[in-house]
Amino acid sequence: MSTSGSTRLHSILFAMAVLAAPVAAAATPESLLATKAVNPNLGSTDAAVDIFSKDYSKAFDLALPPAPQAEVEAMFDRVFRSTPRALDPLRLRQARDVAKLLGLQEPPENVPSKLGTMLTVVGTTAYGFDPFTSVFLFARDRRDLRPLPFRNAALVQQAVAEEHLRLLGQIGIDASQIQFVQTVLISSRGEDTKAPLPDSAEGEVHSFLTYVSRVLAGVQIEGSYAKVVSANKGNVVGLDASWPAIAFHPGVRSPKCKDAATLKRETLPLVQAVAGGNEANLVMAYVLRPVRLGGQRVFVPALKIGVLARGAHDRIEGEDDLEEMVDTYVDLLADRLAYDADDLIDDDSRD
Amino acid sequence: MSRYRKRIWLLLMAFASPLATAEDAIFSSAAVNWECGYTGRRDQWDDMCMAWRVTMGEFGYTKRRANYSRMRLFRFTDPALRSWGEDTVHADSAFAALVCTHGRNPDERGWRAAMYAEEHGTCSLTKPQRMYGRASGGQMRFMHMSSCNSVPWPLRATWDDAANGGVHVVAGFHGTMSISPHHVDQYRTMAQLGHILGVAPAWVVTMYRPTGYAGRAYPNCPVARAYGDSPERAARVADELYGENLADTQPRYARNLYVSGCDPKGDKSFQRPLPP
Repeated sequence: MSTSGSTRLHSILFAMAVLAAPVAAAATPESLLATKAVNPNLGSTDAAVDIFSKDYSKAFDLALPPAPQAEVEAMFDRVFRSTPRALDPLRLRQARDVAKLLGLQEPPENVPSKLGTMLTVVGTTAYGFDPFTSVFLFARDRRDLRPLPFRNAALVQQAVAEEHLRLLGQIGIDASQIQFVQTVLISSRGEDTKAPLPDSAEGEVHSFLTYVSRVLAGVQIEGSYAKVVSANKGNVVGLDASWPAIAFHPGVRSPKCKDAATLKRETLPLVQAVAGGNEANLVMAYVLRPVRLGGQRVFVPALKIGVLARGAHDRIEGEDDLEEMVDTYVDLLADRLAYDADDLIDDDSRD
Repeated sequence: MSRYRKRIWLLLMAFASPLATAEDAIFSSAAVNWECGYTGRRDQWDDMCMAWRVTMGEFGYTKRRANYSRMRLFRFTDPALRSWGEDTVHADSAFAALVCTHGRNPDERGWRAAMYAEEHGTCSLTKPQRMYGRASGGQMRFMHMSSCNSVPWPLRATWDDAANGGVHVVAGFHGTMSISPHHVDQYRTMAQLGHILGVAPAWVVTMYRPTGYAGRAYPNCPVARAYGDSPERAARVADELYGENLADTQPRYARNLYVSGCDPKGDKSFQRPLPP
C-alpha cells in the first residue's frame, strides 16, 4: 500500500469508528474505534442469545446463521474467485522490516544474540518471525516507563489509535480485510492489599492496545489478528501480528456446501462431546479457518460453533456452574477435504 | 572473552539476564476430561497449555507437567497448609506455572479449580490449599491460569494469601474464557512476550479477545495481579520479565493490569464489567 493508501485506510476507519464510538472521556473510558465489516447473515441472530437447552437439535436450529445455503455458496464462490492465489499482504518478513517502519536501530544482517529460539535481540528490543504461523512479534523493554494518569491517557487515546492504524496500514494490513478494530486502555490499578481501591477511584493506564481482526469479502478469518501496544503517544512497545497468507485447501473445487440437515448431523455429536448432556447455548458463524496440511497452512470454509455449557454438577459441593466457551468446527463444503487433526496429545513426545 | 562475545553478553544483559539457569523449571498442567462432575471434554485445552510450556522450554528452562489424570490436588497444595500437600515438588517446584482446567463459579474461596478426580473430600483446588513461592519452600513467581473465574475482579484479594509464599504475579481471567484450536498460537506468543514486555502485560495483551462470531462478541477479560511491599515495588513487579528474578517482598500492595471496562457478559456479580 502506498503512503496515500495507508492514509486513506486510516481516514476511513477513523471516520467510521468515531461515529460508532465517541472519544472516551476520562471518567467513562470506552474502547475507541470499533467497526464491523462482516456480513451479519453469516452469524447467529439474537434468537440464540442466552438460550440454554439440553435439546441440542433445537439449539442448533436457533443458532444457525440466517443466510440461506445458496447465499453462502455464492459468497464462498466470490471469495474463491476474487482472492488472489496465496494472498499475502503483510509486508513484514524479517526483523529489519519493522525496525525501518518504527525508525528504530536496525539489526545487523546476522545477529547472533537470540532469546529463545525465535527472538532476535537488539539492545532493548526483540523481534521474531515464525514463517509457519506467520506470527510477527516486536517488543521493547518498557520497565523504565511509568503508568499514565487516567485523564492524561484519555487525552492522547485518539492520537495513539491513529498511530496504530497508520502502522497497521504500513505493514500491509488493508482496510478491506479489517473486520473489527478497537483501541482499548490497559488499566494499571494499584491498591493496598488490606484496603482495596474502590472501583470508582481513578486508576492509571499502563498502555494502549489496538486489536484488529480479519475478514475476507465479508467472511470472518479465524486465527488472524494484529495487536499494537503503546506506552504513550509516539511510543510503540509491542506488535503481535498473525496475518498469514490466504491459500485455500488444494482440494477446494466447488463452493457447494452441505445442507443444514447434514451440518446439524455433524454438529450435534460435537456439542454432545463438549456439553456432556448439560444445558448449552450455541452461537455460530460461517468462517474461513486455517488447517495444517503436511507442512502447509491452508484455509477451509467451516461452520464455527461456540458451545457454552452450564450445569456441570460438582458431586461434592453440588451447585451448577457456567463453563468455558468452547469453539469447535464442522467443514462446510460438500466435498471432503483431508487435513491434519487439530488435536495433539501432550505426552512425553512433546518434551 | 572476545570483544564480540562481550558485546553479545551485554545485549542479553539488557533484558536482565533472561537466560535460564539449570534450576529454573516451568510447569504446566492440563486436563481434557474429569471424573468429578464434569461430563464434557475439552480436547484443545492441553494443546494451549502445551504451547506455552514447549515455548518456555525453548528458552532453556526445565519442563515439567502433570496432565490428564495426573492433575491432582496434592500437586497444587502447600504442605504447610495440608499435611498431604506436595506442591513444592510439583507445581511450586517451578518458577512459572500454567494450569488449564475448569474454573467453577467462585465463592469466598476465590478460584475453584476443578481437579481431575475427587481427593480428600473435594473436587476443587481453592484458597485454603494455595501458598506458592520461595517463602513457602517452593519456587513459583508467576502463576498463570487458563481457567474461568481464576482472578474474578470482586474476589481478586483471595489470591493475597497465596502470595504470602512469595508469588510475584498471578494471571488469569475475570469471567468466562474460551478454548479453541486457534488460540494455541497465542499461548506460544505469551511465552515469547513475557520475556520482553513483562509477564503481566504480556498476559493481558495476548489473552484479550474482543471478537468471536461474525460480529457477536464474547470477550475474554484477562487480569494480572502483581505484588510488592510498596506501591512502587508492585508497579515494578507488574513489568517483571520471565527470568528477571526480582527479589521477593511482602505482598502489602498489589498492582492490577486488565483491559479497562472489559465485559465478560455474564449476569452474576462476579461477571460484571471490569472497572475503568
